[in-house]
Parts: sequence; structure tokens; C-alpha cells
Amino acid sequence: MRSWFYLLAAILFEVVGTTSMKFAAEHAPVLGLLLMYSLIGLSYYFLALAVKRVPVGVAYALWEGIGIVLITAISVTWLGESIGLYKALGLAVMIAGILLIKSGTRAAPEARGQEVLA
Amino acid sequence: MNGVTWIHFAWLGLAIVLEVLANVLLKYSDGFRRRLPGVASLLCILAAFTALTQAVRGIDLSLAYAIWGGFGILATVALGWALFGQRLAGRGWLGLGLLLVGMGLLKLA
Repeated sequence: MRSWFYLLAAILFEVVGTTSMKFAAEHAPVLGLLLMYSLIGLSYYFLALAVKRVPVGVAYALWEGIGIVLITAISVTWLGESIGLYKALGLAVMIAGILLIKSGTRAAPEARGQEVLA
Repeated sequence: MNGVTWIHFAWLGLAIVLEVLANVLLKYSDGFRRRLPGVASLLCILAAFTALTQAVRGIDLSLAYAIWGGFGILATVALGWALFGQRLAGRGWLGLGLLLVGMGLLKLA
């Protein structure tokens, strides 16, 4: 279970880091880049902890997929990005895919025992 | 989308190669217990984002990010299978397909 929380932490750092990327490119190259590097570094540290038990392809698909869903939600909610039929449909299909991937995956069983001991 | 040249897509291609390399090294780092692959993985992903930053100077961010993510996911799943024997369950493949279709739909909007 803890592996999934590591993955969630990795995703949250990624979302903030990616959102800062466009800002980095346009407004404050040096400070923006440093901020982005720190956040992505933190994100990958937590991803490293997650992929000890979660298959690496699954962890990355969820990291990327949930990241895009959250970034789009942020853009629509706060940055005034418009949402049309295709975009809403795309988000719904992505969320369905994410739930299927998650429900079809178990963390490595031998690691479960370690989690109890740890 | 003015001023898009092949060089922006070259940066995007480089970003994809670097992210996949970072993911493989991440698995080898064993949760950062092995420092060398762990640090190498961090350097690769930071380099990947640097390349991506160059790509979005010419390519729209959401489009570049979707291409980067889509190819990165497919390559990472393939390498996880080939190198670590991590096969997806049937439901996982279906979910992966839906995820990629959804990412494509998001770009049509």
C-alpha cells in the first residue's frame, strides 16, 4: 500500500514541476528551471521508491496519466483553458484507463512482507 | 505553431530517449539503495525535461507533452517486460489502451 502513496507523492511533485515548465521557458529562465529541476528530482526520488514494488511500466503510465489529468484540470479550473466535448471525453477515457490499470495491478507480493516488517 | 522546425522534434525525440533511460535506471537503483543508477536516473530525467523545454519553444506544450508521455509509457512498459519480466494483466492492457486513446482525444480538443 505504501508504494502507491510514494507514487502519489511523485505525481504531485511532477504536476507542480510541469506547470512551472512553461513559466520557466517564458518568464524566468534561471529561477524557473531551478524550481523545475528540484521538483522533478523530488518526483523521481519518490518514483524510485514506488517502482521497488510497483511494475515500472505501470508506475510510469499512472505517473504520466494522472499527471496529465491533474494538469488539465488545473488549466481548466484556474488558467481559463476551455474544455470542449473531445477534451472532456478524452479525460473520461483516460480516467477509466487509469482505474483499470490500477485495479489490474498488484504490488510485488514478496515486498508485502517487507512492508509489514518495515 | 509558427516556427516549428525539425529541430524541435529532434529535441522531443531526445527527451523521449532520456526519459525511458531514466525509468530503466530508476528500477536498477532499487529505491535509491544503489546510488550510481539512482543519480544517473535523476540526471537523465532532468536532461529529458531540459530537452522538452527546448521542444516546447516550437511545439505547443500540451501536444509535446502528450507525444513525450505516450511514447515514454509504451517504451517503459515494453522494457519493463523485456528486462524485468513485468507483464501486464489483461485488464492492465485494456487500461493502457484507454489511457493512450484518451491522451489522443485530449489533443483533438
